Amino acid sequence: MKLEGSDKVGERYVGIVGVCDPYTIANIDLVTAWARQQVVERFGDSCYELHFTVYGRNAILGDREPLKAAPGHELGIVVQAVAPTKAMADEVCMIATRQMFYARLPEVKGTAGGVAFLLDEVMPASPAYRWTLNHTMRLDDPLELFPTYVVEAGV
Amino acid sequence: MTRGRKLAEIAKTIRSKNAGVDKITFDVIFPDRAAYDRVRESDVLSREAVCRIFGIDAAQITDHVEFDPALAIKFTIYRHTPSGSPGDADIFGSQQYGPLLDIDMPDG
Repeated sequence: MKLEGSDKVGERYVGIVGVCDPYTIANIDLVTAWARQQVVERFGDSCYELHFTVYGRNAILGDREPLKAAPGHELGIVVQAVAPTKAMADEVCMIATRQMFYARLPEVKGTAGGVAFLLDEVMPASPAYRWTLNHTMRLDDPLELFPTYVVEAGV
Repeated sequence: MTRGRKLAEIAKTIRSKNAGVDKITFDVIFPDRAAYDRVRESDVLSREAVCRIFGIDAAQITDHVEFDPALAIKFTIYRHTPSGSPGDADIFGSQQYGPLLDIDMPDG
């Protein structure tokens, strides 16, 4: 018999930002690392997950993207925060998203905001789950886990 | 039909999809035996080539099959993380085939 199951990881909030400054695009990992560090200073580095998905570079294939060293002329970055409560997920996501705006790289000419906000807020999303069970179980009788009873309804 | 220079010009179908919760499988299907044989014999989709294209180790390929009756080459690789985990940006594994389209064919 096939056994599948998933476990709730936590509540989730999502933020979206854009970048078109070429130096920032080339150094986007420094920006996301800086934003992550601001979250670490507020919440430490455990009890939550924070993911930056960089569309326009390697969002879909990750490290397997052969063109990851040749990003597009603009990037969209989706920030996902997963935490035990909605309030904490909201705050983790808000800090990570907003701090990308304040991250300052020394070579960037613009000084009034490092990213472009699609929304000046972060959005609640569905809770996050992860597959935790993916097994088969040997049974002598295919019905042994599904007992069947016949009773008289008496009507 | 067999004169194309890129795999996308030669194959009829190039696709990726989930295979269970922790693998992604790729199908490259050809319109005729000549196209299938040309790609098969060129080794552009061999295990070694797949490792090179995606930057992965051979141990990450769980299956690699040349299936004559369907004129298809099929291979399966492990996911980074189970489908749908937070941070997974391709829940159905449906857009992992991009790097296969532009594979250069020798003597095209």
